[in-house]
Amino acid sequence: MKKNKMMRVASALLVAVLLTTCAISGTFAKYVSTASNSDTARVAKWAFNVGDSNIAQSNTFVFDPFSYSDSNVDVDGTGSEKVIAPGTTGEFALVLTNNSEVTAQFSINFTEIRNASDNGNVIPMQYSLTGADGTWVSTIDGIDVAATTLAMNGGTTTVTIHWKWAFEGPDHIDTDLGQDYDGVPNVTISAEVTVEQVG
Amino acid sequence: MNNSTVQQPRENENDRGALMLTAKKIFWAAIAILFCLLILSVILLSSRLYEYAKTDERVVQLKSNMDDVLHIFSVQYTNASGEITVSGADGQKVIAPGTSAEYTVRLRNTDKIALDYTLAPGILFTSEHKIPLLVRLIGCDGNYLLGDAKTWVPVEQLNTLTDVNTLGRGESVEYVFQWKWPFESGDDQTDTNLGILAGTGDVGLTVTFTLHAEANTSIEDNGGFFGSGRFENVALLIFILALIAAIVILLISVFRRRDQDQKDPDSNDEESDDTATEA
Repeated sequence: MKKNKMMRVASALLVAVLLTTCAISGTFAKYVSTASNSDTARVAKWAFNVGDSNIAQSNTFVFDPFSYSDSNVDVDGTGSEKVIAPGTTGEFALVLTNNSEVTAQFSINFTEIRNASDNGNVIPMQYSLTGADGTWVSTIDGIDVAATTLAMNGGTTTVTIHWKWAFEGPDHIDTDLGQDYDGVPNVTISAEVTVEQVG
Repeated sequence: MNNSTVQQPRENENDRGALMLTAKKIFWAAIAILFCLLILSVILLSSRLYEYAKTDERVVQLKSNMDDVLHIFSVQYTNASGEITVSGADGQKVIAPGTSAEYTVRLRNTDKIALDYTLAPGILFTSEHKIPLLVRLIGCDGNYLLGDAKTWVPVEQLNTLTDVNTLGRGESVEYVFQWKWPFESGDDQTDTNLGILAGTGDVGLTVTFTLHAEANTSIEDNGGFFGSGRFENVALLIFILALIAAIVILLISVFRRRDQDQKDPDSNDEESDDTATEA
């Protein structure tokens, strides 16, 4: 009887120990953790203005090189028909603005087309980047603007082109051009602005 | 008179008596050990339940620098000369051709047990326009999980990667995430288009790191059977000792019963000699 009782006690002790040790393991069973974090960035904007035109989007801009006034010329550059004559001079400005969020570099390539008179004479245009006291060149190619860096987020600069038809020049050419009444002698100026990101 | 009583040598009776005494001592010792093991396991369980009840959330203690703001991207970037070449307006984080950066994810197990964790990076473009970012990811063992020393892979491959690992108690690891937008990608038109679109809409991406951790209750990942700070190791030891004690008790009980049966085969109860019948 006594032995059976002790066996029961031993069995109860064993069961109790087994249950408690199993319970200890269970207190670790559901420990979990989840975390998540992120970072976001957007693409830096690319926008470059020549005047009011964003050439990144439109690829074109408008400028008017022959808007000028001269009281000694009957039809000057103030009307819809632009007329120039010996002694007239003018200038036009290209305002370049880097509205990108990256540093950009621009260059300007000027071209001109001069239609000749019946006698083969072309308007003796001269150009300068600096104005009256500066250096004048006889073709607009000579004033191309080399790569110039503009700071991001609003960096701006103005490129001013001066032109003139010298009053004192080969008079026979000037006269020939003036006598060609059908308006063939003329000059057309174009500008191409190239912009690229600077690394 | 019944003369069937067999007289055993006196020495055998003495040996058997000593053996029984020893068995009786072992029996009681096993009972005592079992009782002590019970006390110990109750104390351990109480301690675990106390810690278990202290925390409102049953979370593992895995610390990471992901708890703070991730600095994968920046507002400004500089070139090799130290000049700022990219800058987001209004302090916004941006990316552009020529930008790159590196970010380190740091994990540290501050819990008392080993932790199994899963680290899953991901990428999400904020518009339908994909951005040609290239990435690499160096794992906690220094080997590349994405790309290699000479190769970068498209950022979309972040979504295909999941790294599973175990951190021992007190251990820490690092993952290094690298990204770049090549300046000369060979597709200037796409780069330019993205920049133009960014002027009128949201064109970007989000990089995410997700971390999931669970308690690791295995013995081998917790310093072995006697690994420090592992309650479960001790619990298992108690479990085994209790079983041994129980087996010892059982064997001794069987031995003592057999011995009693040999002494008095007609008796079914050691204490009930009163019921012996006379032939």
